[in-house]
Amino acid sequence: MLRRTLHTGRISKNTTKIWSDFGQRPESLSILSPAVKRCVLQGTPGSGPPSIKRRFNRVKYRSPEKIDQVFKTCYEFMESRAAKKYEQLAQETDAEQREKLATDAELNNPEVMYNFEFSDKRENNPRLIDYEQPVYRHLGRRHWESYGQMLLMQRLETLAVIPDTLPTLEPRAEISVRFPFSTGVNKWIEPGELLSSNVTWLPPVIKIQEFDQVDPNSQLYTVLVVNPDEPDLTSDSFHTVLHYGVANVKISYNDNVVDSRKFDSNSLLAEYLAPVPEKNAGVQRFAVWVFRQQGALEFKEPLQRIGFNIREFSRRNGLLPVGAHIWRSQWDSNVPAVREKYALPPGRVFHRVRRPSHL
Amino acid sequence: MFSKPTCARNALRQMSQPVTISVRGKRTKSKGLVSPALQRVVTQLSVMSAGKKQPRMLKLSREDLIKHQVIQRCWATFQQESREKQNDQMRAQYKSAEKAMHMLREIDTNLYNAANANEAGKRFPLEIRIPTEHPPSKIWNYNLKKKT
Amino acid sequence: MLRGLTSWRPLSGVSVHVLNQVRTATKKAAGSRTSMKDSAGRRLGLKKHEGQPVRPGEILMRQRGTKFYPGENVGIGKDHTIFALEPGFVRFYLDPFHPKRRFIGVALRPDLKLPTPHFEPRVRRFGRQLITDGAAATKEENSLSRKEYLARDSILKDLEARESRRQQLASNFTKRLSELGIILEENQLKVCIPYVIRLRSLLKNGFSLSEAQYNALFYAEQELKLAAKQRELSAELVSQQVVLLKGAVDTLNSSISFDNKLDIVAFVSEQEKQQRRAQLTQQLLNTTLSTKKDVQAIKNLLKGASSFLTKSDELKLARKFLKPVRPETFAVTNKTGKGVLTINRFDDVGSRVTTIHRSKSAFLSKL
Repeated sequence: MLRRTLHTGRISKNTTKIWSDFGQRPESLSILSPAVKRCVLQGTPGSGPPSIKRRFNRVKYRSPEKIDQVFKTCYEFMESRAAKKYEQLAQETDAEQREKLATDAELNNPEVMYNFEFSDKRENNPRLIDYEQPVYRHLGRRHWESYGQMLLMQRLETLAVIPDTLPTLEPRAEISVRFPFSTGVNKWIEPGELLSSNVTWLPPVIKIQEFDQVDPNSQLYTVLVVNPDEPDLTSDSFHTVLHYGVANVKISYNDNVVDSRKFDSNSLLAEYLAPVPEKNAGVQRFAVWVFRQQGALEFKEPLQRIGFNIREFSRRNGLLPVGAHIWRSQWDSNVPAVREKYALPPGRVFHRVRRPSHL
Repeated sequence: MFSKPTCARNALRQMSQPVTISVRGKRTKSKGLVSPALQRVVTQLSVMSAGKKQPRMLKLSREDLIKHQVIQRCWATFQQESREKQNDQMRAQYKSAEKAMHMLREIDTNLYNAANANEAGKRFPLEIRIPTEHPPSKIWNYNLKKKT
Repeated sequence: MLRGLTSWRPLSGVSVHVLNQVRTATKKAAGSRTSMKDSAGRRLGLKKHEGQPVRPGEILMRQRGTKFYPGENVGIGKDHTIFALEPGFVRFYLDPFHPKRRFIGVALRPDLKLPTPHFEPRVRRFGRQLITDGAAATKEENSLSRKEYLARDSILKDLEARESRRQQLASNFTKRLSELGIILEENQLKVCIPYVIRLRSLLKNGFSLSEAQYNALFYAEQELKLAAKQRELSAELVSQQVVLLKGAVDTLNSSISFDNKLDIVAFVSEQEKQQRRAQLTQQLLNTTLSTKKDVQAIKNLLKGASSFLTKSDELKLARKFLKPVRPETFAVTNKTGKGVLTINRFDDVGSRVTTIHRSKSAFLSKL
């Protein structure tokens, strides 16, 4: 049966160092720090692993016995398997299969594993995590699916953004939102967070992280922010208001933060309108929707903000929703100041108590 | 139950033997078998919760964690490959046997039927060589001489 | 009842009396205390029929357990009573997502059917009325929750303190700019000082320099545009102001830098920073550390380097060149006496205490 013959059995000695020849390989597939790289690939030096910063802890640390020798054998084994994948890749023509083979060939590379495990995945340094590489896209998607995507879908469903704005979402891209201009604080918003009007009074910055194989040179995106909770007194119900709209945005895998540097006034569908909930109107949801476009869009007349129908808009323009995000706002004592800044009339004030209308 | 005379006889037998009565006296510190130092360790350990007696959680440095993961993946890949290889071999063997049987049926139906006869209840004869996955490297020993 | 009293005399001379009590086969007269009672009906069941108009709070169903589940616009009580949450029309329905459950819901309009199609937006009622009376509206708008009311004073005080700090910063920066010989016009200065203050706070919050510059400029631009919108200025005027702002910001960006204490200094390019850093390292390597004067000299060197060293770089260099205790390759003597410190320390190689003598030059504080 399966015997432990790994160390005695003959392993095909591959002379081509497929993982260590950095002639054609991109830099991001290698560990940045030379000391750490040496420690991983050639064994821990006598002074201890260099990733431990304090000398005291470094000297105190003991590696598991024989880990370096075993690792060396395993590295060669995995490298030989990767070489096979690269051979298959050279003959493959189907794009999807190529992506899969390129991922598999690098997935067990310890340098790739190290880079992905121990560096920031959202604000990625392209020298460490380069999402143009299929393997990092694969790892990034897996990481996102393990928590971020589930959290987002839970919030979208419990807060009924689905189906109040769009029927449903098949999430493909990770969307992150933050408001760096208003507060000067560099913090990504968690989906569903209740934000004060002091935070939201200037436009947000939206990060679209693609994990799919798309062509960054031709793919365009549309970003919409809608509020489905604007009170409509005539029908005693709510209508949707468009708060922000940007179309024809081009992003790349690594440079994908949508701010005013990514678009000009021509692609601005609707300028940012700060959330200004009225007193006692309840908590309002602000849904950020990101769509992939089929081609460049042209808009002649300005969009109607009040009563904006996002379903019809996306259907008419052939937009594919790929990601969403949500934040919530309610009246606070800073709202009148925001209204003044945006030259809006003072907000309505509603009764505290909900009452049944005539019946 | 015992009849009365038996009971009486038992009681009589007990009475005739010397009886040891355990009286609680002064407690001796050493239990005799283990040294006081060792006893102290045993007592301390028994007081400690089970969680504290576990070996400390393995904390690997970043580099060692990655090495460990690579080793695990390598072992999993190796096992998977050997499993696949063995399965392929078994499949090929089965196919080969099946092919031989088809051929036998075409050549001689009687032999085929005899080969496929139901052998329910038949025991494996002890004299026969143990079935192996491969034929022996030396098929027949032509120069076999009986040991005297 | 006692039937027999047995005494058994064991063979040893001690007599033991055992008392045995046995119950004979008699029937105890018994009766049930509860079987005679019967409670009144609990008046369970449906209280509203399909399509009947209801108001919030009206009970639709009384039940034991959930014979019916609460559907849309309907709540359930602790005894599973189902009641309306919204005014509307009662609907009894099945939901394909819960095939074994029956639901009671309230449709907001008589023409609506339940359940609402899964992918369609929910039908919701706003249900709040506008306060039309101006005074009442103002009163309502100004009303604060207890928590807000208690926090208000301290928040206002903090805001005031922040504003005064900013004003202090602004006056400092104005002075500093004139010291550096950067002459700006009055209207330029008005936009530049808030820009510099914002830039400083962004750098403090961990933005990179280019990001911080973009962010601060965007902020200033937005403020300009919003102010123009407020005062209904023409687009031409706004673009003029934006051009003015951008010009001023460009001159600022190319003429000032922030040092690692976030004070304004004359512009230092990235290349120059690297050059001067290398120069400083070389200088530090050439210094000797034997007197108090040397320590002061190194401290002065590091102090003067704040314009091109980051804080962490400065700290690293200080740790490297101003070690409180020099390593044991240095200043270990055999003799004891004046000016020599005797140290007992545990030597973990031999597992024993060793005594070493070190001259005072090994310690920074004793130089």
